[in-house]
Amino acid sequence: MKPSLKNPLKQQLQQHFNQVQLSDSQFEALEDLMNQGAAHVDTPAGRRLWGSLAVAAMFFVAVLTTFMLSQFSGTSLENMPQLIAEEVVNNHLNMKPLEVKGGSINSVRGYFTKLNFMPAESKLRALDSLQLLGGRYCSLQGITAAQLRMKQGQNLQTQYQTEYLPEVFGDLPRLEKGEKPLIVYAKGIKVKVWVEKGLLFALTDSAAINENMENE
Amino acid sequence: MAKTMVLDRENLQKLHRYAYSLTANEADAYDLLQSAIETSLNRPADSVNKTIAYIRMIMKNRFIDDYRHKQSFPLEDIDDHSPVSMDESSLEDVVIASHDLTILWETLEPIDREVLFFWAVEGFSMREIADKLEISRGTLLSRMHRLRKRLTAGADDMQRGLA
Repeated sequence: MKPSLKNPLKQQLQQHFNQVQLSDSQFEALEDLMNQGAAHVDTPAGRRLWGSLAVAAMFFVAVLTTFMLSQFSGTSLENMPQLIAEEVVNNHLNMKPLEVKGGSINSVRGYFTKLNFMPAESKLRALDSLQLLGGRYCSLQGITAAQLRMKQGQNLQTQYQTEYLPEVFGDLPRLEKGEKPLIVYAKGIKVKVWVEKGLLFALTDSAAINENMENE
Repeated sequence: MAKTMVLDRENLQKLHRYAYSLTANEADAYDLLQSAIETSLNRPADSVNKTIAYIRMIMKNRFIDDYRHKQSFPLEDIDDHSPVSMDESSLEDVVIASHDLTILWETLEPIDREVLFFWAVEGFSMREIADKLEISRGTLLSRMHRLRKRLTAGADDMQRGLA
């Protein structure tokens, strides 16, 4: 076969990427998706009402919707600790198999090479009685995280660590400032949430799960 | 109040191409973009740039999460202290045939494809790319040094009909 014409790498890459095209139907699907999101946030639900009675009803719905949306938008980050706790507890109850085993952060750190951060030891005293068993990759609110499993007597606990992004996770207590972890309950299980060393930590405090319940 | 930004087609196309730089497959890139946009709707940003940055972050994290069992996504396997005999312009003089690039593209590591996307399509400098990927400039240049060798060797092999 005759060799094809060589061109500078940058030019070839640009041409290569230019061939990657969304089709009209794909554009429309993505635009619909975003428009739905925009409508969910911005559009009062009562606009479809008609007639003079509809005007009054529309006004009522608009006022009600505005009130509800203002409540929702003002508390979305305030609810974040609850969302974090629920996600941590759901995964705690699932007890998925560990991907790496080790008794110390140092021994498992080498496994977590695909994170944007380095898993760290916390100085929280509640962790003194916990023995690390291992960990696995996970995510918290869409952010890649390390999920660590720890043993406390006969019970197993789950600790999450991820990069602390204030714009995603909101304002959380910082251990270095002397603030105490936030305590949130989800499905009856206590979860401590705090920020330390630039990381977000979440730790279950559950008495119900023991080693026999591990799905390994 | 922050509201959902509706991105125009140009930005959607760019995001799709960024997703393609990760997946090396157009269908997978579309799925990745669609799911990232869905997730982004939960936390509306107050500017187009923030929305784009957020969707990119979601796609990258999801790609690493979803594909880690299928493909490696090495960020740490480069010796940061290895000698670097190239500068930022060293990729500029690499020449390659379109057909060879298409074949080699799928064999590259995702991080290499991501770097090439930022370099060729977005026009970022190596410093900017290193900042984006949160790796040192030395690590990035070492990576590019190996990539250059791989691209030129692979292209030469294909031109000679060895590959």
